[in-house]
Amino acid sequence: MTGGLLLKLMLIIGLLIVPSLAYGYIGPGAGFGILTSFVVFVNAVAVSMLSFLFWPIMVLVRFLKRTRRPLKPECGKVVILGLDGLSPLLVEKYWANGDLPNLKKLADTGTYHRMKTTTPGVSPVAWSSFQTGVNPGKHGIFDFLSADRKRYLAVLSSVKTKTFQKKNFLGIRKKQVSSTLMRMSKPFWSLLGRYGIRSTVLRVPITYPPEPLDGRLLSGMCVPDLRGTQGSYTVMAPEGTERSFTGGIGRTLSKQEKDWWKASVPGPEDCDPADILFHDKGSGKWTVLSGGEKLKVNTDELSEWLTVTYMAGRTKIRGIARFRITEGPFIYCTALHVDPSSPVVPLSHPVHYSRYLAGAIGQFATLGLAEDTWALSNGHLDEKSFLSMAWAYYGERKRMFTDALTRGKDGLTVCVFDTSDRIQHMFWGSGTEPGSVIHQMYLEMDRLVGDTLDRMKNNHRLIVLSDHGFTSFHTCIDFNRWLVDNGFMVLEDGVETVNESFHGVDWSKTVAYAMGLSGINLNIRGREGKGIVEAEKAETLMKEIKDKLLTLMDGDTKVIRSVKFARDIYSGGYIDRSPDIIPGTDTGYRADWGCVTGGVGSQALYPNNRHWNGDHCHDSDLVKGVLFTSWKHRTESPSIVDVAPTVLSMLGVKPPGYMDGRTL
Amino acid sequence: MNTLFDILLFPFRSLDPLWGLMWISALSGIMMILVFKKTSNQQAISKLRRKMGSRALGMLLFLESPLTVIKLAFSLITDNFVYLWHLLKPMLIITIPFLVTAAQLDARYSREPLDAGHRATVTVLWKDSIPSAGTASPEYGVVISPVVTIPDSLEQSFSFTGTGGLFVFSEMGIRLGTAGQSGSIMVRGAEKSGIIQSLFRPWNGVLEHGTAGVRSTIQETRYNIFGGRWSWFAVFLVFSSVWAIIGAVVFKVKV
Repeated sequence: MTGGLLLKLMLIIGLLIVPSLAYGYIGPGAGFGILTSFVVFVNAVAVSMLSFLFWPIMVLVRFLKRTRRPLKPECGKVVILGLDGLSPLLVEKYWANGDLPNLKKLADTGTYHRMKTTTPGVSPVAWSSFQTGVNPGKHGIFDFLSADRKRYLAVLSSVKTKTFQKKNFLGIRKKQVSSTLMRMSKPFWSLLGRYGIRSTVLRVPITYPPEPLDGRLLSGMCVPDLRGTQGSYTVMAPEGTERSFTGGIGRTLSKQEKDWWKASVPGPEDCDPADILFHDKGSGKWTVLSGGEKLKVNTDELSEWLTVTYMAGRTKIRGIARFRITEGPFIYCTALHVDPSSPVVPLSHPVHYSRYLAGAIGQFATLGLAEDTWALSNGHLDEKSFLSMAWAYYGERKRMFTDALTRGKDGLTVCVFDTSDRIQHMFWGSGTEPGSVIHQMYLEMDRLVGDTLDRMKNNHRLIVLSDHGFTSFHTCIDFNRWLVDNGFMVLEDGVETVNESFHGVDWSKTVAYAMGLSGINLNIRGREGKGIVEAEKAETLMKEIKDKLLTLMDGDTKVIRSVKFARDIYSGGYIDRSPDIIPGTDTGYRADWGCVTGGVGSQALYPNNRHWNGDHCHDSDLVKGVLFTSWKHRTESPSIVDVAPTVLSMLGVKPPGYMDGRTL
Repeated sequence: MNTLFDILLFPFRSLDPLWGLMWISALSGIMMILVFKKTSNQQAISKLRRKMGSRALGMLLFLESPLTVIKLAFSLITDNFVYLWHLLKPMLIITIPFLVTAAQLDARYSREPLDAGHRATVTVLWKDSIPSAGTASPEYGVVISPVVTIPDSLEQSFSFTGTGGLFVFSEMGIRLGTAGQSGSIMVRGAEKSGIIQSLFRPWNGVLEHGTAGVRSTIQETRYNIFGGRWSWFAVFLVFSSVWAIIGAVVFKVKV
């Protein structure tokens, strides 16, 4: 018998023995509790009864309001499991070893294909095509970053954020921030909603800010952290850490009395930093406190989530973070994720869906790119901690996916897991042989597929897909340096290298510039801020750049496998957002880190020494994804744009004519 | 305990009793919410509350499926019992100081002062035999009805009013009321009791030789608040709750 139970029993017996005043109210705290629990009980019964009574009316109203489905549905429910970056080459390799039995079973009973991805084969582009069924020219996402052509700046391609002043009802001006989703066209779940078919969409990339739909949606990739970045972590140490670096900031940890340490962690702009206290309790045990919240953590372990609160005037802004404390003490704090139980920006549709999930499965990572790859690259996290973070987030995602499968009886359920992408990015260099981290990850993804199959019913259809595959990334290509070396870009006198944003580029002599992971833009007069290339000369120039790129060699190895022009591979109204030239690099070669944001280094080719040693920003034919369907189809070489029309048809909705994909 | 409350109420002795009652209510509200914070599993309550909130939101989110709503309602009710279980320990711990405080307030603020115009009845239980008392006048107060004697049960009773807050009839072994100021304990009976019982009955007077017990029916005090006539317990309940809410916000207590 536990001490607590014993104490409770003793007190009960004591109170029964001692004759006393009997009031039905024992103190304010417990009094509120009992009152609340009574209200909860009454409400729960009332709402469930009302739901039961009004259900026939709701069904009737929905039936009358909805548009009749033009086709006969082939199934009751479609489940889509997105495994970001799952490579067909590795799946087939592991099959040869007898691994991945659930994926094998799915392939045998249904269909398996290597799936054509978008050009370029990067997540924002590919998942946008997945959800809209159109090529990038129609949805307007061509890369993680797009070019602000007037200012030669790299901006996030999928979200446009505006800050403005707005008067409230008292006439006081307040700063407001609004975000707009830049992905155009319609996701197929919006089309399903028109026919009264509900969807649950979990963490599909490029769904932030969430768009209304008939159902529930939790945004994925591109959800910012509390600092408004795509992930900025904090490291804290006793001395000399007040600095910024790629992916994070350093703060000084100041010693307080006894075994207490304190650090001020900056949060949202215009808010004072939050004080976080760390108490060394000895034997490797620590307590972390912030505001009224606290948690316990052992040295070298990643903590649970802690709520960190910031004040913007009188408004509370809540974030959540995990901590890792090592000898020193040296403290790592994850990016400040938006608290899903009290979101400061909309994370879901409806807005309380994230609150529901936070209660149902516990707090969860909300940041678009949640796994902290920069911290591992910068050496602030070791591999073990990174993996424990990645698997913790995977666990959260799995719980919310299971909840969605359990609750949503029909319609559509989509969930994207990005653990597979992050682990391959960071551990490709460690090999893919059995026993490796990547092999273990594939085994876990296979178990996930098995669990999902177990929950499927006869009239359910399952699609398992990845947006792209994976290859190695051993050599960086600095496209801007290559442009300089070949006379397409000119630096100002005295400038040798450029850190970022093309500071030091002589635009009056530059005809082309590279920006983003896979694009070269011409400096067109009238389109670019300081453009000099006449539109009629663009064609010749593009051909010249293409010819030269195709001759780029790394020793005896050809670096560029293909060079495509946007106008040849894309169609649609948003083609002007695309880079003009899309070089497709060969296996192992990828755009350099600096040139992505407008930097110009000293060498066109140099070894990639970072932990990020696996990638997929290559020629898209080299990084095909996987496509498994639980039913048999005969379509050869399926493409990621085929998924949307297929799901629509399956649920009895005719795919719209503007979609580029075919029904499988 | 009596001394402690006398000290706590000392600054209010010359004021209207309502002030003393409100002060103790506020103090109790704050103290009990702090005890609640200390003795309850705040993390578990917080987590459970979030879970329960989520179930409630889920009921709204999945209204289209009555089965899901009923499942969620069932889970919510189950969570509710877990919540009550979390409340049990703090509730039981708070019970004792709460009852002691309530007993003190009951003894001090629940009855009208024993003055002319406040009529009450007293019943005296004799131990062995009824003495031939009752003819003499009490030292304080006035007997206003004839003494009724029930020989079989050794009982005598009569109505009276007090003087200067007291009714003292030494010959019958009766000492009721209080001569103290606002917030003092008012004796309203006398029974044989042990230490623990006396803790919960501060209004219990001393049993004189020959008496087995003294019971009185002194009229209950009503406090005029917001146009209503509130009992001491209602005042205590409302004001302690208000201060507990304030305390919960200030001290970040999850209830």
